[in-house]
Formats: sequence, structure tokens, C-alpha cells
Amino acid sequence: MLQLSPFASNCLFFTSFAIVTTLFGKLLLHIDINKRTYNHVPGECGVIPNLPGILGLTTSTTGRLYMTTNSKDINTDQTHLFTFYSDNRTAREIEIRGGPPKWRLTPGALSINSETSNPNVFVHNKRTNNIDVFETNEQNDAWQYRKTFKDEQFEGLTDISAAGLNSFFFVKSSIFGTNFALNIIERVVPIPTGYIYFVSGNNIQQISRVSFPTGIVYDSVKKSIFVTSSTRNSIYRMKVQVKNGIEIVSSKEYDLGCSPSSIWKDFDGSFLITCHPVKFRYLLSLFNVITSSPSLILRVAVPTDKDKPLTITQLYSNDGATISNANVTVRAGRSLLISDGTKILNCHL
Amino acid sequence: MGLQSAAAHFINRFIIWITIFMVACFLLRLLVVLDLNKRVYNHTPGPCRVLTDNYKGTAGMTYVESQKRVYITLGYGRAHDLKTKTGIAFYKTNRTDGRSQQEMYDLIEMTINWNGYEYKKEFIPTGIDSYSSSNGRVLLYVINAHPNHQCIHFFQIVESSKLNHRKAICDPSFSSLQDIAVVGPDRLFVTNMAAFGRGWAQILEFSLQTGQGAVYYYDGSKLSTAASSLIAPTGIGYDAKRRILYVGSMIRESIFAYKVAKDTTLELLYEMMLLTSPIGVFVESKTGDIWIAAHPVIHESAWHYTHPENQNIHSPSQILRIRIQEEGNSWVTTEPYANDGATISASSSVVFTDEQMLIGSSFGRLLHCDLTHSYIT
Repeated sequence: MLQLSPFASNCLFFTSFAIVTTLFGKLLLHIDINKRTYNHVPGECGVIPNLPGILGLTTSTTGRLYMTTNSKDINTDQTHLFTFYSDNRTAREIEIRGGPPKWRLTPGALSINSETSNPNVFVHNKRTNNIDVFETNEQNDAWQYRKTFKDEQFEGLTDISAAGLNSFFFVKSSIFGTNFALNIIERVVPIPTGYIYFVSGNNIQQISRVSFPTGIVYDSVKKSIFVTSSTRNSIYRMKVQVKNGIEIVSSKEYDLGCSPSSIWKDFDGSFLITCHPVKFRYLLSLFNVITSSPSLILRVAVPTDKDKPLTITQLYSNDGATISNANVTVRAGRSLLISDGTKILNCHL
Repeated sequence: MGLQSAAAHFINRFIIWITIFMVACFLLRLLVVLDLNKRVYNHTPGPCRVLTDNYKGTAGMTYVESQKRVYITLGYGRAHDLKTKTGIAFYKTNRTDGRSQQEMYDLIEMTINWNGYEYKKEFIPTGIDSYSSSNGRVLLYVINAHPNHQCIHFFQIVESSKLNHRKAICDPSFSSLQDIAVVGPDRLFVTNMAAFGRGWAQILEFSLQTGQGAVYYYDGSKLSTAASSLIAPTGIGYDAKRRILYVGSMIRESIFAYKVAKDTTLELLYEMMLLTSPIGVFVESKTGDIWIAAHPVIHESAWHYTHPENQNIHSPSQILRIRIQEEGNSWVTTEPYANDGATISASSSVVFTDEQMLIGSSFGRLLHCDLTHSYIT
């Protein structure tokens, strides 16, 4: 038994005390105990009637908006694909043509590639855990089935971003996707348990690990992928380059100040990001202690110069009474669409 | 002997543990109060413009309905050793009085007739409020924030753009006067933010969060304490229709609502937690809405107040609008304006009227915004 002198034991005690106090204080700040939201709308807002919440959202270069929605019948796990006309705020369901026998689509995350005149849509099929690719024809609301990517790594996919006709990036938020307790720990503790993958043809490649990534966007002009990390309150910019496979040339992390839950790239290169501005209220809502959690929509412009800071503008903010836990947003014309999974809010910009 | 030694040892350990606990609580509270994890995301309610950049401080504002003017105090920065001109100016909010587009955004400085007052060179105006009597007289009440000469000055507006100095109330208990709210002719409440006027003593007082601020009441002849033991009271506003006095607390980050009784004693109704530091309070007379100019990130504000001459040290600005519902049982908070400090730094006063909003700052610009869409969600 090592017998410490009184002086040494006092030093050890006070050092440990200081460390524990600091860690506890950091935890208080990390879960945003001193934050709240104040309501802010960019213009007139209203809930789109007769339309359930959005699970995924993307647009083509012509401005055509596609969305994946929950079924109105909560007894089934059916989801549906719609195209949305923002001018008269109506939606029409998309017809799927082709496809293998007995194949059915339960769409989740989706992304679009507009290299050809008929854009290709990559859809995560939650029924089969595959990635189905469709060719769109924007003269009508029909999609033509093209091919399927199959891999076991697609299970637990969070977001997808198309990079070419036969390539895409995707992220997985966590290792323990189905274990609630461990998943909560992954949301709070900033350790890099999430994955970023690149798929090209039959090759799948893990390119990085990030702490709880929630969204990914590939920008072909900047040759970069932008990944949001919910736990670290940040957005990563990773320049990618094709050599022997794809590799990250450089990486830069920017602080957002809130926990991002999704990312969408606008035509001018800026991003619309949904955030959880008060993290402890979000965690309480996950545990069903409270029924609502604040929502925040930001427009983020990532500068080309690495040394310059982000330019962030707030587009929408709500304390949860109107829309709670907003997790996807998109701009269509002069409309800002925000969804929390149960309803779609349409705000005039 | 053994028993005494054991008891002394126990008491000694107990005292050590209590001290450690208190130190830990102090550190954690300080950590939370400093707002180290906060930031501001820019947005405006409509097109904005800078009205003036010529004074180091536009810290106080009041609106006179009968004249359709906003009276603005200028030069608060001199209280923090900045070289600047001080005075009072007004802005006309009426946009249909035939002025040109250029003249519409002019500030008109007022001349002051001091009537022999000997301390006129030590006039640093900050908080301001007004009273319009039934015979058309408009009286202005201005707080002097000079470190050596904290007073309440009484003015009367004569000949449209002149001020007649009537008298000054000075008291040794005035150490850091902040804002003023008028409840009747020569009847007013003022907030004294801290027991120490400035410097490191005040910073230490704020860090320890001792409640040494106070609200004083002046009834026309005598000064008394209306509320005491407040933590850094700052902005103060009075709702004459509902007889409610609102007092902001900078360190506690909340707004206290008091009922003003017939004998002007204050009864606490409720406390609104804002989680942002209110500095200026404006009460809309028609709707009863409360507009608050706030410092959302305290550690950046503290840094900005310590180095006001440095143009690169910003402090975020924030304007909140609170609509009281159900007689104070609930309220909705909206954020019409927020800025990270690049456009306007350390917002300290706000006035809203006729879809226009004026935002004043402690050491810098005066901003004017049109509210093209101001919704209460």
C-alpha cells in the first residue's frame, strides 16, 4: 500500500477536484443549459394541409422538388414519393416504372445527379437496404428504374449525396443504430463513431470517421464534400480527389454553434442547415420527457478561403410550438419548406 | 482530550468541504453566466440603415407620441474614457410630413439651456424617458452617467429643438445609474446597476453575483428605495395603461414585472427568464408589447466594454419582442433583429413605432430598420 504524504494527497485531491469540476462545467455548456430560442419567421408561414412529414428532400437543377413522405396510415411502414409544385402548394405522387419482379420501394434518403438531361435519383430503399437508381422524366411524374447498388454497409444509412451516374457518398451516424442507450451516448459524447463512405460501381470505400454525422452534400464545382456533425456542432469541408480510389486531400472543421440535423445545398452554393439549438431539450424530447423541442434553420456560406469564417444567416427559429425537431429543409422558389417528420411548414421568403 | 480532538478534526474537515462546495458552485455559476457556448445568427426584419456613426454611444431612447419623435442620448462612450461629443438629439418618425428622402433620416441635435447649472461639462446622458402633460408640455428626464457626477436631469422641451434644464437630482447612493422610467410628472423610477461604479470592483461584484443593485423612486421631492437586492438591474420600462413596471436584470438574464400600486410601492408579479442580458426596455403603449435590447453573449460584451476604443472587438446585438398573453400567465418571445456585432455592437436601446425600429448601441451606431414583416408566431 503506497502511503502518500499529506501534501501529496492534498495535491492529488485538489487536482482531481478541479478536473471533475471543469468536466462537469463543460458538460453543462455542451448540453446548452443556458440557451433558449426566440421565435423568428422570414415571412408568412403555414402548414401544408393533407401532406405528412418529409423524410427526404432533393431538387433538380430545374427546380423540380422531390420528397419522401411518411404514410398517412401509421399502421403501415409505407412511404411515398412525391413531386411538389411550390407555386400552388400541391403534390403529386410519382409513378415507378420498370424494376425487378416482386420489387417494392420504401424510399428513405435520396439525392439527385443532374449530369444528363434526365436527372438520376439515388434512393435508399429501406425495405431492402439497397440503393435504387431511377432516371427521371420531368415532362411527367414518372421515374424509370435503372439499377440497384447492393452492399451490407447500406444498413443504417443516414444521408446520401450523388457524385456521378454510378457513384455517390453516404454517411452512417452511428455504430449502435438500434441500441437506444448507446445511441444516446454517441449523440452526446464527441467521439468519431460515424462513417463516411464512397461508392463507385461495385467498389465501396470508407473514407473517414466523424462524430455522429447527420448530413452530407457533394459539391462537384468545389470538388468537396460537406458533412455536418451533430455532436461537435460543426460542419466539415473535405476536399476529395480521385487517385487510387478516392481520398481526402484536406479537411476543415467549422463551428456552427448548434447541433445540425440535416444539410441541403442551394443553387448559389450556400447550404440550408437544420439545427437543434438547445441540445438538452432535444435529448429530453428523445426520452419523451417533453413533447417539443426548438427548431432552427440557418443559411451557411462556406468561404473558399480557408482562413475566413462562415457566413451564417438565420432564416427561421421556433421554440417548438409550431414545428418541433425540424430535421429537413429545402428552398423551392420563394418557399422555404421545413419538416419535422409529421408535418411540412411552408414559409414565404 | 481524544473527544475534543476528534470534534475539532471533524469541524475542520466540515469547513473545508463546505468551502470547496461553495468554490465549485461559484465556478460553475460563473461558467454558465459567461455564455461561452452562445453565438448569434444574423438576421434583419427588413432593410436597415445607419442613421449616425458620429457619436461614441447612442445608449438611451424614448418615444414621444404627441410629437412623433424619438429622443436619443448621445455620447455614452465618454463615461468609458472615449473622446466624443455628448448631447441629445431627436429623430422624426412621421414619414408623411413632406420631407425629402434625404432629410427623412436626419438626426436633429438639440441645444441645451443650462440656466446656470455649474456641472454642465460633466453631462454624459444615457437613460432617458419623457412625460407629456395634458397642457402640451413635454418633459424629458435624462440620466447622467458621468463617473463622478451621477444625477437625474430634468428638462423641458421648448421651441421645438431646445431643452430647458430645470433641475438635477444627485445622491451619494447613485453609483451606476442605467435607465429611467417615468410614471407621472416628476415621478420616476431609476435603476442603479451595481454598488461599484466601474472598473475591477464592479467586475468582481458581477462575478460573485451579489445582489447589490437597486431601483430608486423619486416622488417629486424625496428619493426612496423601491426595490433592492437586485442582480444588476439595467433597463426599465413602464406600461402606463396596465400600471406594470418592467425591470431587466443583466446577470440574471431575466425581466421582472412589478405592479405599481397607488402609493407607488412595487409588488412583484412574475419573472420572465430571457436567457439573454437585457439592457434597454421599451414598452409599446398600444399593445403592451415589451421590446428589449439585449447583449446575448456576456463574455463578449464584457470584453467590448473593457476595450470600447478597439473597433475590432465586437459584441453581439439582439432585439426581442415579448407579447404578454393571459394577463401575464404566458408570453411569446420573438427575435426581430440579431447581429454578431459587425453592423451594430452591443445594442442598448430600442424604440418601435409605425413599422420602424431604432436600435441604439453603447459605444457606436444608431440603426434604423423597417419592419417589412413582423410576425408573432
